Amino acid sequence: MRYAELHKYKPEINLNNVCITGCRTISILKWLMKEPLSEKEISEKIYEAESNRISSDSTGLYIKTLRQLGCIIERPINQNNYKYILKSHPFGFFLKKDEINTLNTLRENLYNLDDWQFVIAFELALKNLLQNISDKSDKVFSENANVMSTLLRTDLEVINELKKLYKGQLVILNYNSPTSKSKMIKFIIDKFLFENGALYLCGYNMDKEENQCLRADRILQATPVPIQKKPFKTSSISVSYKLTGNARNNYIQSSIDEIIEENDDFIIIRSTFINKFRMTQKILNYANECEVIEPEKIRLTIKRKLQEMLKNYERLS
Amino acid sequence: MKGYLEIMNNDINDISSIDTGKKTEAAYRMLRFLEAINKDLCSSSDVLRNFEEDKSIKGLFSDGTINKYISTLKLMGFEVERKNVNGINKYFIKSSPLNIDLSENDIIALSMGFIFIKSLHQKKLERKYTQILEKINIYLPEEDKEKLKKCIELSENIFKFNTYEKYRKKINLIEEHIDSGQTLSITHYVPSEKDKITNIIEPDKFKYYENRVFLLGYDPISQEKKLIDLEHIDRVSPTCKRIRGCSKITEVQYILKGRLAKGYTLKENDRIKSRKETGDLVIISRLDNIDMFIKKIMRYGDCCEVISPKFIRQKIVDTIEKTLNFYK
Repeated sequence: MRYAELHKYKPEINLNNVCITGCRTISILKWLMKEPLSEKEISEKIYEAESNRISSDSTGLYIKTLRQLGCIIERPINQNNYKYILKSHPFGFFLKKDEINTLNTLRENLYNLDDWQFVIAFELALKNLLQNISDKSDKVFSENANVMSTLLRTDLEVINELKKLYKGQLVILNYNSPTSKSKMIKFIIDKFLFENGALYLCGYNMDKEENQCLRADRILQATPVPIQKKPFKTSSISVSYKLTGNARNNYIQSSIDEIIEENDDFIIIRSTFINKFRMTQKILNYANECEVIEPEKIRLTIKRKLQEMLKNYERLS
Repeated sequence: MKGYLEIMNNDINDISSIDTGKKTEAAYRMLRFLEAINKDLCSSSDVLRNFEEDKSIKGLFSDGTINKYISTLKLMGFEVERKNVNGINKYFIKSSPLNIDLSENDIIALSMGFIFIKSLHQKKLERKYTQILEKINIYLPEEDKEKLKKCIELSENIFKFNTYEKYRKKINLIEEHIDSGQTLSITHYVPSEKDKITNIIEPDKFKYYENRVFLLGYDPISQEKKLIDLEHIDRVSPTCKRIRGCSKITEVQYILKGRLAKGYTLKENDRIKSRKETGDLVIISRLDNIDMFIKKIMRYGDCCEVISPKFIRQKIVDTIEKTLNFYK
């Protein structure tokens, strides 16, 4: 739009008291924010706005001015079709340190919510917001983001596809395993689980014949298998254990827990775990403030695990 | 005082006679002004002082130059407003045409974030988040500004989070003390002790788990971070000591092995010292709570070994042996 036309919307402005090169530079910035432009295209747009042509040297001068002000603009080269590409500028939205701290405090507390879909939506909103920030604050935020949660690494298209499927549906997952890289897993879906900032898909691994919770950010692809619905085997592990000390004082009941007995000294809980791995992790996490009561085979499992751990330290000694 | 003053006598359409070298300098100054008022409230004197300090800007300028830049910015779609702060007029950007691109889902999520933060009952957090939303609003296109406003209004009626209303008074009281920078004397019931105890705590932040709220703070006597359940807090009073915020930090080195090493995500205060050929990771962590670290190491089972310092290795061994006593 021509500057003179802009004036129609702002008649109170005295056109004799306007910095024309300022108008031009801001216009170039706005155009580059929308799309990469060649020197010729910038010239054309200026002509449309001012009915005057400027030389390529002049265009270069305005780009140089923007760069001196802190704009990061890629120069026109063969690889970018000879266009100026604006990477960032210092005139827009930014976050101060205390604002980043506020958002990180909010995120920390969000990760304790069950509502992982809201957490993902919020993380995405922040990610999109950060794309508009030019200074280092976005890097600080992002580094913190990676530490706090794997959610931003999750392929949301895969998750959206999985959400459409039902409990008991058989899928073939292309899974990026830490040990064996990419592998195909035949998996019967149970549910999503959100824990400690990570999203898991829980279900039954048909090859290994055990219940598992797979990290969602490691699922590369999910292909439903059009087969009659498979009955879902919930071979869970039920364990009773007693918590004392700080574990008892700070105990928070989760959805898999049932409180059997409670007093100031201890709490006895029965938990239903999806698999042995998660059971072992949770019990050991309580350290010497937790004793498994039953079943006996789980007591043996924990005992063996502790003995193996002790051997490590004897070896190191 | 006139130095490099430009007076636009020409019609805006006739610029052929203008020297682009000088005018690019003018654009530079104008955008420096934009940068300044975009970041913070700025008076004319603040801006002119910035110009003097910028070695690439030659000459001296007057308020008339600032007025010209404001007119130009207004013409280009910026809303530049003035606010009286302690008797001085300061400029700021109320609305910017350098828009940020947010989808409708993003706007809804940010509005829900506002409702969530209200449920935490921390006034300072709520105030800061409101400021962030107001700042985002500056850079939204007009139609999105309306959307954000409506979303916040609707969100209050639609979305409900865990209510921590019963902790509100305690949260507000402790928050006031955090703001004032004072150490607190906290009397709280400890179930396993069957008694109330009093701790001196440098309060840090609140932690919300399910329907419970905890205060995380530093105990200068044990030199460790402590988690106190707000449910069990009986009395909170300020002491005359200021928060120094220097919890004792212990550096610990440990090895992660096997699957754990391969799939491990670095946590805050972790760094990788080395990676062995077997894939095992040697990690260094800076701790402010040894008990919590020990619990974490226990969770990792035999896929993890602490290397140093010796006293922590010994603590792990003691913990394992104590736990094994349950199964003899």
